[in-house]
Amino acid sequence: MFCGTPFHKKVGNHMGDYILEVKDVSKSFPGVKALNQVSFRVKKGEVHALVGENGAGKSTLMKILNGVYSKDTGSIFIDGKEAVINNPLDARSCGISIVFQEFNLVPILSIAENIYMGRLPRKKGMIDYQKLKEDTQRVLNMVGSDLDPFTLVETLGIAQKQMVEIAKMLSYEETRLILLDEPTATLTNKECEVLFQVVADLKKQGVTVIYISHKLEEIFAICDSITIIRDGEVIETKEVSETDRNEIITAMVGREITEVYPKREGDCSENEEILRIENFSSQGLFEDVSFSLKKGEVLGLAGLVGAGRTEIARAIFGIDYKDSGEIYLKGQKIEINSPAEAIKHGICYLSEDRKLEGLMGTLPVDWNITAANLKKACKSGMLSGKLEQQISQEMVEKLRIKTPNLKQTVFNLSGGNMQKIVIGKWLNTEIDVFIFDEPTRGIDVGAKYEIYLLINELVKEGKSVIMISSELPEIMGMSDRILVIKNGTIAGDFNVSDMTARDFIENAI
Amino acid sequence: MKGKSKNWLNMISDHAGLVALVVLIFVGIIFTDSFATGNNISNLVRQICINGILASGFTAVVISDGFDFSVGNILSACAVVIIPMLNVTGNIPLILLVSIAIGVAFGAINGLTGKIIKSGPGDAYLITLATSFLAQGFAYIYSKGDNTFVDDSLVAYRNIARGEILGIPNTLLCMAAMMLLTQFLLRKTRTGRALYMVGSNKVATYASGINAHNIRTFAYVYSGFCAAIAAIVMTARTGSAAPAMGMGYEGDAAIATFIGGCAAGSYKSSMVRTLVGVVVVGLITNIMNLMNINSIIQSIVKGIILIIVLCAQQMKKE
Repeated sequence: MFCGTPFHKKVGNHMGDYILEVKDVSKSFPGVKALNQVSFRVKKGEVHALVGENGAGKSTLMKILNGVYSKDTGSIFIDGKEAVINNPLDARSCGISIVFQEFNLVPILSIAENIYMGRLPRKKGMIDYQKLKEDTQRVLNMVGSDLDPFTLVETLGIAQKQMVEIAKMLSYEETRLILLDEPTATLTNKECEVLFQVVADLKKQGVTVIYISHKLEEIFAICDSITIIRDGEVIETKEVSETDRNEIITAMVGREITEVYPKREGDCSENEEILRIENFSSQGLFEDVSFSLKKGEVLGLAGLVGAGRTEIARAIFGIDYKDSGEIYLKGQKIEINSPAEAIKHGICYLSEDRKLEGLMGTLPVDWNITAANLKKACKSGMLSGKLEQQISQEMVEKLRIKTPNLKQTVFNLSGGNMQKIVIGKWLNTEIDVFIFDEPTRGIDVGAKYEIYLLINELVKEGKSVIMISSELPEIMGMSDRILVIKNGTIAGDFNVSDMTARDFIENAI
Repeated sequence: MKGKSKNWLNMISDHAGLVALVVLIFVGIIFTDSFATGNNISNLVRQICINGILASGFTAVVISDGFDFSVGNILSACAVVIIPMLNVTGNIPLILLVSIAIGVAFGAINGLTGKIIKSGPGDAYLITLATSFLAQGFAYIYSKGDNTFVDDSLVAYRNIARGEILGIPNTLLCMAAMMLLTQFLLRKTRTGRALYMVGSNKVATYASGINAHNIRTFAYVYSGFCAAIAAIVMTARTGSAAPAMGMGYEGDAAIATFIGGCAAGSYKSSMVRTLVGVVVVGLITNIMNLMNINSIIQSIVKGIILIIVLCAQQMKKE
């Protein structure tokens, strides 16, 4: 999502020592060399961007700085002194704090208990809940949140959890270097602004920020310098003011990309209807939603985070309940009460939370790819290893999945590649209607483009796509038609050629 | 430096079962007199077969992220029903079916209870423990607490365990057959694959169109089936059926499965690993018997070994 106007309150660069120097750091996992002699320096008090494709090594680097992983070779210097970071506690005592893409919150505990875990304020040996409440409210206010400190984390949405994570990091007084890993991936415009303000405040206090993001607009808005990583190696470190978008993308990808959204030929407006939803309602989530989908069409579902788009999609797929509503496939009424039934009817759903719902992390790449269509990998009724390898190899090549081999355990791969594997799983089935929920969230520019190409290919083959996205440019660039969803109802129905960004804002808010 | 020492640990824990196997063979040869004799080895082989059959079913359950406390008592339940029936009818195929029916029924109780309460990770222990009590109670009530003996005339039945084919003991053949069947199930069938998927990520498996609860129910039913087969082999070997016959065998089955290196949703889990574990457990018992170690101490030793194996697995995860 493009977060509004460029953020103007940039404070001048602090010339001074380097707070962090990473020198020749390498790290390997079984079968994967994640980092290769990585070296770069971060000036004290600056906002330093770290960019790279998925699988380039950014998250690995951050986890090493935070003590979650240990580096194989190389050194890390904090304020000129070599630092030994074997675990997150060491990192914290060095003043390093991190907010991850994958949250480290305990769902069954409250916000306050999560933020002050392990250091709950005590009075006479018992927990001082009053102080806990005040302290928590204080840090929550710093991120512009007015949530009750004792709200259970499991009831929060993704964006809210994000804010709690940032608040948690702010609650540590010794924090001098903060690592933000894709912080705005799930935030609305308003929340982004709050985040940028938080970053500016931190800078004023002399705290250094390392900012990992795919959103180049943000980087140009709030960052001072940028380090580009590709395939586990540092390509270059530059001042943001001395570079431009094209240069960065070229360095990230190793090749030039000119087009953001690939063009699609053909017009599907005359095609027959393949799917129709009527009067879908689920109390508190969505109400009286009806729409239809044509063959070969890309239907975008736009709206603010929390508008109910995911809930509608999951109800169609049968993974969540609905109170009422009918589904018509090719004009025939059908019942979908479980994902198995949806798949039988040729409908699939690519979940927002691909790790939780899309992948079997401990299993290898090929087993994941064949997971939704084991029959295809069978010869005379028995699973055939050879056939399975063949199918997976084709899919890996088609989707350009970066993995050292087909037997690689999936949780060792990077986020973007995991997403591709889930897509591969569904491509391997006889699906006619693909529902993609935020398909490019957290994915770098190069891979995003590949996914767009893929969507175009699907549509060319006569498949239909419902795409949920919170990035307006993406949904306008890829859809034929867009439904704007607000508070669980359809607020607008536009042909993309007739729609402007203004139309979206007016209908979504 | 840290990276290098981790590698060593990784290698050992990855093949913990094999390492234990080799170590035990050395211990056996060095510390006892009669370890390497033909007599002892054939004793050993006969001892591990029951556990091997039980461990087959247990492995299927473990892979699907479950645990089965009840296999030992299911074995007893099957035993006390089939032997009196055998004595009366002399019909071996019949009692085979009856045994399987009972094993499958108890397994179904495990599975369906899980399905009804929409079980989460820890529930398997409670559910199978409850079924274990049910099976034990059933065994005692049905047998009225008495032992039954296989009629002397039923030589064919006894030969299921006592006989040999081409020099290989029948018990070993039974174990081999069950292990091969299980390996085939795990690696070559879609249901077997679904066990791995469910064990790895129940939610994602459901979202991929497979009913996770049904698959887990199948795992328990299969485990019950294995217990039923084990009951036949055991009663054929001892020539008797007692209501406490199988009690405690679930422990050996569990240790064998975990020491061998099987784990929930783990791609590397298979009967190959379980077989190693079964031999390891067999060796431990065998060596301790040869050293005349008291059976309570034997239990303690087994417990310690299990803890070490589990810790090594955890350290490897980091």
